Amino acid sequence: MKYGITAFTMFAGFILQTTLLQHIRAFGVMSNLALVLIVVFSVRCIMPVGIFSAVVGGVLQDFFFSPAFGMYTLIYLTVAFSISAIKGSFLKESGATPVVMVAFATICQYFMMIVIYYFAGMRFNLLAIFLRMILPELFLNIIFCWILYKIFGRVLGKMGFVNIGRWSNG
Amino acid sequence: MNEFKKKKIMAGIAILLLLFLIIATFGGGGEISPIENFAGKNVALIQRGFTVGADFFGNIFNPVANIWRLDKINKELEIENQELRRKLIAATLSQKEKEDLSQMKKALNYAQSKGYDFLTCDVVSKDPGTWFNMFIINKGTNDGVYQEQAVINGDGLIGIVYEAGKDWAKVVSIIDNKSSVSFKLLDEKDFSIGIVEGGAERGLSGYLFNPKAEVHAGQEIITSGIGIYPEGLLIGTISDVIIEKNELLKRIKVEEVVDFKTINRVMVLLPLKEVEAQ
Repeated sequence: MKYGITAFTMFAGFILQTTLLQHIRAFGVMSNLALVLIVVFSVRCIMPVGIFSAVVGGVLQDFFFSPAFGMYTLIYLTVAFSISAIKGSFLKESGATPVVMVAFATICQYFMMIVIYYFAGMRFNLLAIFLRMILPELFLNIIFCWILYKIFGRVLGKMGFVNIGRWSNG
Repeated sequence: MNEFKKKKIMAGIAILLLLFLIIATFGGGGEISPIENFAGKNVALIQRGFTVGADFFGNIFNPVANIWRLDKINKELEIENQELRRKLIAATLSQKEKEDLSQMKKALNYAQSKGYDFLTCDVVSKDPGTWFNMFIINKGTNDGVYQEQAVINGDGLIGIVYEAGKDWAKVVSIIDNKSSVSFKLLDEKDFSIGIVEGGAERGLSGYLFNPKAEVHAGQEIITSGIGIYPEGLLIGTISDVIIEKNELLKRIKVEEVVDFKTINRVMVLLPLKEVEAQ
């Protein structure tokens, strides 16, 4: 049941992001709803649920919009693993938790993309990427994550998605 | 072996598998698998519904949200309109204008002359990330859409079909990181050619092979016909020319003519043979 709800949420997020959210952009950039949802699941729920959300979100994006199958799955899995691993050790859950985690997730995502593309032979202006892509997306992701964490996090709690802690398999 | 170690090993295996998949499939552009086809067809249906709804509300709310920007654009357009009117009057009797119009007519009708026909497609969904510039259209191999066919709209070149399923296809736009287009200057005398590429920075950038080419900001560029894009499609306007003494190339920045954020309908260029066969 939990996994069904997680899969449905990730699918609905994917549909919204590829259609409706295309109209909500800041400086030409939009929020990465899949990443935001993975952060919410990883922080609020036990590790397998966070990982599962990363797999669903990653596979959906890989199917439709990735130049190499597995790229988004790898990135999102790394994010979900990392957040699940560090959340219990470094942070007590507070209002700042989603903000810090989504900032980490956004930077981690871009870092991995840059590394993958570097090895694929592409060259780019890192300063332009930071100013025109990372900063606006970071800003939007923080806003979206804070809102979703407040609303969706409570719903998850009521539905029995419990956060048990570091490396727990529930 | 404790639980923690087991999970670390599993994570390591998953990462290795995914890295192998990424290396094996990088560049894509092949045929879409039956699983992708099935998923794509059904998801595209849902996405189409959402896109139509989103566009409907977007058309209502966007002008309100952008009212200050639109006011500024309106003023700029007024000035541009006056300038264009002056130019039009000045050029009415000139032979060059006749030639320009003939050139435009050629550009508009070039599809037929080059042996192509159009297939109009709706954009079903767009790339969720900011890194790539891909989108999905609602026509596929059943309609004659195949890999490496050029995609355009009324403004100019949009991109190319990257992968095609039976009823849907992925299009990669010319501003995408992995896109590169061979171009030539739209000039009566100088037909110098070069390459423009998409990138993380907005707009296109590229270079001319001939360092002595007479190129300046404001000049338009079209596809050269070398490579996969047919000749004569408008790409954009040169916004900056950078001359680097150490290099034997003239670098340019290009502002694309198509607004990639607002495209909802595109045309795929089909070779006439395929159209007749259908």
